[in-house]
Amino acid sequence: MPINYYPKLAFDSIKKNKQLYIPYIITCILMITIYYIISFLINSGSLSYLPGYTVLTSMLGLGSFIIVIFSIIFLFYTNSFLMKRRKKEFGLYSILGLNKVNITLILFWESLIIAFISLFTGIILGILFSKLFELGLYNILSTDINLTFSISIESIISTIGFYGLVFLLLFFKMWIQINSLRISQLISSENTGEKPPKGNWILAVLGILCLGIGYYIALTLKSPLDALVFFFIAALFVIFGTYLLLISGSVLLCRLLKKNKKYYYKLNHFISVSSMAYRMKRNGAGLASICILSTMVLVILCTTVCLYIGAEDALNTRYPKQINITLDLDSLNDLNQENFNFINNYILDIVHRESAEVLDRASYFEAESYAFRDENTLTFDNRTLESINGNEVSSFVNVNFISLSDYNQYTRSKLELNNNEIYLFTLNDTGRDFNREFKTITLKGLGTFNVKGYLDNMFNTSDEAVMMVPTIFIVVKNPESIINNLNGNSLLNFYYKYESNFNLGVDKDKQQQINEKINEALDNPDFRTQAGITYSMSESREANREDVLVIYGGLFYLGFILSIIFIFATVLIIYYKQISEGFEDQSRFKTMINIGLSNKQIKKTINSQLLTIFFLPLGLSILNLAFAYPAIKKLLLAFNFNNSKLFLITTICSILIFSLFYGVVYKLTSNEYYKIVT
Amino acid sequence: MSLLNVENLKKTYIPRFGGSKVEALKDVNFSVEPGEFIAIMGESGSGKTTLLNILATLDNPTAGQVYLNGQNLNEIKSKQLSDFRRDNLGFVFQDFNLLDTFTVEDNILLPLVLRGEKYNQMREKLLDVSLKLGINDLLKKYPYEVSGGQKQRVAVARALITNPYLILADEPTGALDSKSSDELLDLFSKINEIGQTILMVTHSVKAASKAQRVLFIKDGKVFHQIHKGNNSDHDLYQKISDTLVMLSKESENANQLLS
Repeated sequence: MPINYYPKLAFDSIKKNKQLYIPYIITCILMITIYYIISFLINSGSLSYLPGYTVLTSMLGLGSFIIVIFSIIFLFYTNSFLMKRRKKEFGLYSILGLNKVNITLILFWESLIIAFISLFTGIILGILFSKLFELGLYNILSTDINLTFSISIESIISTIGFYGLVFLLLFFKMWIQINSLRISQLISSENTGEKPPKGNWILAVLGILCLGIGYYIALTLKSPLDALVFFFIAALFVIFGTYLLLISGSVLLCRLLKKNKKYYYKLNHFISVSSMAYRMKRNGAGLASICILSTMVLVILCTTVCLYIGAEDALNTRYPKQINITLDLDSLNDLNQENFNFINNYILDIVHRESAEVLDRASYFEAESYAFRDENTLTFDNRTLESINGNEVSSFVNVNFISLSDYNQYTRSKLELNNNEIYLFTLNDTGRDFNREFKTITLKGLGTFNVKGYLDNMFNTSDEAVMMVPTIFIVVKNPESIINNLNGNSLLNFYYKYESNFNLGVDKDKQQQINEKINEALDNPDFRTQAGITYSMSESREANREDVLVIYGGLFYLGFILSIIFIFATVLIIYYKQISEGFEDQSRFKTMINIGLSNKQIKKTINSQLLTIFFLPLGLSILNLAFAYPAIKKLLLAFNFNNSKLFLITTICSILIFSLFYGVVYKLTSNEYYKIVT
Repeated sequence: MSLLNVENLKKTYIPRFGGSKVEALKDVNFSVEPGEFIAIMGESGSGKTTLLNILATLDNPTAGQVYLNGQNLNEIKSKQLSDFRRDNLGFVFQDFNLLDTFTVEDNILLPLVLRGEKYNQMREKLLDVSLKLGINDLLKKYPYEVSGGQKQRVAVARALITNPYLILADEPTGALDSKSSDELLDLFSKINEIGQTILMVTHSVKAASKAQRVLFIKDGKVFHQIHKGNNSDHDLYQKISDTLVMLSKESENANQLLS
């Protein structure tokens, strides 16, 4: 046979089987497009401006992981379906005189053609869509953010590499299949029944165990920092558990349902349960992918919407007043009343010179250090967050000492303390084990203090609000002696700070002007020397408003795009799964129609079957979301977001919107399925 | 009264893209008495399959009537057709048409489940029919685990379990080896002896020779019929072969005349 005949034959046979091949190729293309876009988003630098960029990249990483798993499962599954339908054709070829080498060559060319079409179209579409995405992002982010308009070569290579490998594996699989069968088997293979799968208790139990571990980790996260580290470990457990559970658990469930004769021998259940049991093994993986993708859509949707709506809140948390000043002071000696008044008046003067008023001012000194907390014992440590080990993170806390007189002065309260008494105020620590139940606090090496009370009313704390580690404020009568004594034992890193924030009572532009004046004045060397200042910063809320809102807008946009991609992937999986199964079921339904199944009964059966296929993963993904809920809440804290009610509302809305969308897809699919089988 | 009456049955197909009409059935008349075992023979294209489809209510005649048990099939509303099929007819197909998602047991029970019967009731009927057909060892197996002959027995069981007025068999031995074919035909004779009416469409002379009466269809008409009467299977076999030879000679003559 002339060599150039094979490509032609391959092309013809794809064309001849287009009813089978078009959905298959479309799926390949879309998988590749989605994979490219996600890979592009990970590799492109344009996202690194967004807050929580690392969280997003991990999320994207998980997403591409799921797409990869799904692609492999789905393509192999569809391919085996294709091969089953086509073995007869190959049998015919061999009767007509082609040997197995010839057939393998045809298959090779077929694979090559499909791989080329899919990769080429998929990557072109991917580039187009990712450009479109970047343009959108460019519009939302202000122009001063420098965007690189590039095609990610890295992503193209990884896409071609990965999917090329998948296509190669598919080809090898077909090759082995063709060569292991005799011609007579090829011809009759469409008629041979398939073995129904057996459930595996061990895998199901393992799946439940993994889910349990994942849920447990998610539920017991203590701080936002913990959440950052462990959320993805939990997510991996949940993903793994979901796959195991749906693959083997679903078979077991069907078997149990079959054992219940009264349930099983009802028309609606009879046909749907048996065909689900028959397909569950390969269905399970598809269902698990749907479930995970749905969960991701829900998580992304509710967090980004929430952050976007809550951006104003976040701004106010980060910048409590119109002007927010932080000064680092040289030593403990600078924390005296005289210096305090000096700095206050210096700033007051600048503002007055600009003919504005200082309103609602809250200023205080604080001495800050880090410690490990074990129950109510604090062991101070001279390392910072960056230099501690990963396993120490969960007990690491930020400790701030504030003097009682500062506290009383600016909260206008009249609290009193003895030398061995303290007041506590905790921030960012919504963890279970700091429930304001400790009656005493031990500072290691110094002694034990009685907790006179927990404070609800505290200074507006701006920089602590964005700290990843939990913060404890300790109000003491005499901070100097405590710090000196602590420092006496070992050399600790104490940071001495002056914090002040106030409003101005002038318009936005003027606020920004005054802020710049303050920054200039704070840079004055004479002032710095006299007050002992090593670092100064004054921030205007207005100056940062646009940046913050734009950034949250970008985040929202990204979340939106990701949701669309994942929803798309979900829809695709469900749709093509059902359609390809519809073709498989055609002959079965025809037989049943002959025997006396009415159209109404067909509809009922399809509904019962699709309801399970659709709403089992949706239900499970909502369950996943419910368990992830507290962990996400902690993650949001890392983004200055602390509005539980808003989060609850957006979560519920996300679920409703997604379910609605899901329902529409369900309806479309079941109509299409009905058309195919009747 | 006859169980099945076919009167002046006509079926004309109009090709979708124009062209001349095809008359699959021209004028078919016959009747089947309760308890009869009747075979319908004819060459490919003689209209056998069309006739069977109309009897099975899967297709509508262009003209003419079919009465089953006094009920005119044309008058059944299309929504009730599937119920009608399920309650009155049993089907045995050439390629068995067992559902590979079901066990043998569930395959047999399918029509009863469609009918909405209670499980205990179904169970009794299942035991009854599977004992009769000698397949009670197979009940828990899946279709892919049993042989062709066994599959066809299961299909017969599925047809019998609703206790239908008439069993329609379409080339039931077509996919079976000769031993399995003999067994199946014996089975048909056996269930016919206990009163089951059977209408079988077949190519096989051997299969037809088991029937009490053989109808020959040619060019859309009932051309000839042979009664078994007191003849043995072998005699009937001989008569059928003779008839077929005669039929083919006639068409050769006709062809010669035409050319």
